Amino acid sequence: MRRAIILTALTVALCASALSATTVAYVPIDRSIDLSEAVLVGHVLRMEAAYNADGEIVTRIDLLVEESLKGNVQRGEIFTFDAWGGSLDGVNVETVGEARYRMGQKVLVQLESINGEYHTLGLSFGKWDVSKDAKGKQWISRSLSDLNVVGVNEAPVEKMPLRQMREAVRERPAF
Amino acid sequence: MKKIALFLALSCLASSAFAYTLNGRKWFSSADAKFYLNNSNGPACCLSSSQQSSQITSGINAWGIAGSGGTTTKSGAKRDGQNVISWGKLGGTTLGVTNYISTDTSQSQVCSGNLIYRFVEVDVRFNNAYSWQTSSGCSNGFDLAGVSTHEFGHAVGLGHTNVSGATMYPSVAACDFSMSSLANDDRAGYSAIYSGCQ
Repeated sequence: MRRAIILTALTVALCASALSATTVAYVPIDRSIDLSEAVLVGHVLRMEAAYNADGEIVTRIDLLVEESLKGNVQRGEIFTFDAWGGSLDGVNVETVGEARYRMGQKVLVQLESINGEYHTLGLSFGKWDVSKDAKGKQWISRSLSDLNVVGVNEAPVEKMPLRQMREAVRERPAF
Repeated sequence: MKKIALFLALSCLASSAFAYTLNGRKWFSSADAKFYLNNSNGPACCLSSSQQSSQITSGINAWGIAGSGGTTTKSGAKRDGQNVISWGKLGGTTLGVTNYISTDTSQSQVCSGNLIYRFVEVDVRFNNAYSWQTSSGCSNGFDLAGVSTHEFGHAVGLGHTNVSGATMYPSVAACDFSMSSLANDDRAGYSAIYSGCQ
């Protein structure tokens, strides 16, 4: 019996499949910074499903800004942006490849304006989780597994020190 | 319990000969899997309206269960009773987005040992600001037929594979026009969803 349970658990783990994708064009870090109107570090304060101006379900995310690397946003400000999809009025819309958030999570987001609403650049492409290693060094990491990434000419960056992103933003010309 | 575990293990081993993944959803009938194209707001460059339609339709038709239902004026990722393909602004890097729309009344089947839920509605939107090109003279552009075939692979229930060169491989270079041709791995994945269901 015990062996059967272990075998079942292993089987389920081996058969578990990744979620599928949305297609984004790969851009290197420097180019992604140019395309971002704001690059913010902060904590997810609130998430709430709503209808956008086109009547589509989105999830409104309030970010308590801890650091503004790019854009006219101040530390301590609550900045609201949208993630595609969500659950509202008995309907669930799952936008494949969209970033997922947790309450209280610390993130770095690269944001662009689409039809007057802010979204992360390339869905989960523009959302980074912020974490600290044992020495207290801050890292940012993102998952591209739900995305179909096209136009790839280099190994996609999925993890880097937060400091490196700060420097990359500083080195980009302001428009 | 042992028999169930053995059945699941054998099912898994059978599918592991390929690398495809499933997203846990499928169409229960081809009538439900009709996709309607809203071709307004299509990209200004570099394909004609008829080229856009034919390349998107080829992406739909690559997968047996899915078919073109004609045109529509509906748009967006909404529960409106139609699977809508539309054009719109998706930002600076996103070429196409697939939206799974469901309600609380989903049904399921077991296919090739996998529990798979019923698709209710799927809407796909392509970015009209992008440079969609043909293979002739392509420069840093993307293949609409290929991206369509990939997106509709998701829209019939497939996830990604790690088989390079397969349509469902999650990475391709610009001006690569090979994605619209299904590989054996893609066909095996499709078959795992739509054959041998209970």
